[in-house]
Amino acid sequence: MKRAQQLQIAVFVGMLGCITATPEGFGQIIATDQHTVTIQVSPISTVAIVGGGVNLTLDNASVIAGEDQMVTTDQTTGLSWGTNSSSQKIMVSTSLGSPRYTLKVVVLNPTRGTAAPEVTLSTVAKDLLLDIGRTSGTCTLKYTGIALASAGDGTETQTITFTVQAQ
Amino acid sequence: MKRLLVVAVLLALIVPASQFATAQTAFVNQTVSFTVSTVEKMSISGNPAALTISTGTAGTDALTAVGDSSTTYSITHNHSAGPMKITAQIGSAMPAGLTLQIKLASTKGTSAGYVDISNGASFDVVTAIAKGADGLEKVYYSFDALASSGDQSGSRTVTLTLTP
Repeated sequence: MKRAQQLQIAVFVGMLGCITATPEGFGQIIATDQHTVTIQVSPISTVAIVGGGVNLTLDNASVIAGEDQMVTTDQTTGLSWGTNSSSQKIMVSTSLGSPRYTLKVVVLNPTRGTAAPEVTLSTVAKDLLLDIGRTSGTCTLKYTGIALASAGDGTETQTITFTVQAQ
Repeated sequence: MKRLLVVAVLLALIVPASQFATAQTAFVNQTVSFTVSTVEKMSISGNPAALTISTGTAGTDALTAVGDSSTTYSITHNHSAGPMKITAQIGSAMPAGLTLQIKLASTKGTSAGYVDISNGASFDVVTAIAKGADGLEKVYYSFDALASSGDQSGSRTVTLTLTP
C-alpha cells in the first residue's frame, strides 16, 4: 500500500472514532426519571331534597265528627343520596323542640337500603334509612301530620334535617 | 424546576383531599309547614222512632208523654277563638196543644236540659263546648199532647247546628 493510501485510511478511522464518541448527532443517550403521584378518594357523602318544601293542611275534609284526632299525609317529595363509604345510614330530626302538632315521616320505595319504621319527628335524630353504604339512590318521603282538635287551629313550620352518617 | 412541578402536583392532590376528609357526614334541610284550619264537624246517627201518644189519664187533659233516646250525635271542633254551642230548631211550629222538647247530652259543653222547640224558633241546647271531640252523645226527645188538641199526625225536621 502506498503511503498516501495508508494516510487516507488512517484519517477515515480517526473520523469514525470521533463520530461515535460524540454525544450529539449520530449518538443517542437515553435518560430516565421518576416521580410519585399520590391520589386519594376521601369518604364523600351527599344528600339532597327532591321536590322542595312540604305543605300539610288539615281541614273539614280530614275530620270525622266525634274524633279528636285529625290526620293528613303528603308524598310529594323525596331524597336522593350518594356515598362512597360502607355502612352508612340516613337519620332525620326536626328543629322544633315542642311541636303543637305531631309530624311523622317514613321512607317509601328506596332504590337502595332498608327503610326504618315510621319516625315521629323530634330534635333527637332517629334512623330513617339503613344500609345505604357505597351507593347512590332515591326514595319517597311520606309525611303524616296529626293534630288534635283540642289543640286548636294554627300553623306550625318545622325545618327537617336529613343526615347521612356512619351506621 | 422539575422538583417544583412535582411538589405542585402533590399539593394539588393532597389539599382537596384534606377538605373532603370531614365530608363523611352530609346533611340537607327541608321545610315542612303544617296548617290546621278551623274545623267543625257534626253528625247524627239517624232518625228516632215515631213518637206516638196512645194513652192518658181519665180526667186529665194532658195525655201521657212519650220519649225517645235512640239516637246520638257527635261533634268535633278546634275553634281557638272560643267555645261553641249547639242550637236546635224545627222547620215549622207544632200545632197548638202539641209540645216537642229536645235534650242533648254533652261531655265537652253544658247541656241546657229539655228545651221546648215547639214554636219553630232556634234554641240553645248545648253551650260552652270546648275544643275537641264529643262522640256518641244521646239525643233525647219528649212529646206531649193535650186531649183537647185532637188526634193528628205529622213530622218535623229538627236541625242541630254547631256554631260559635
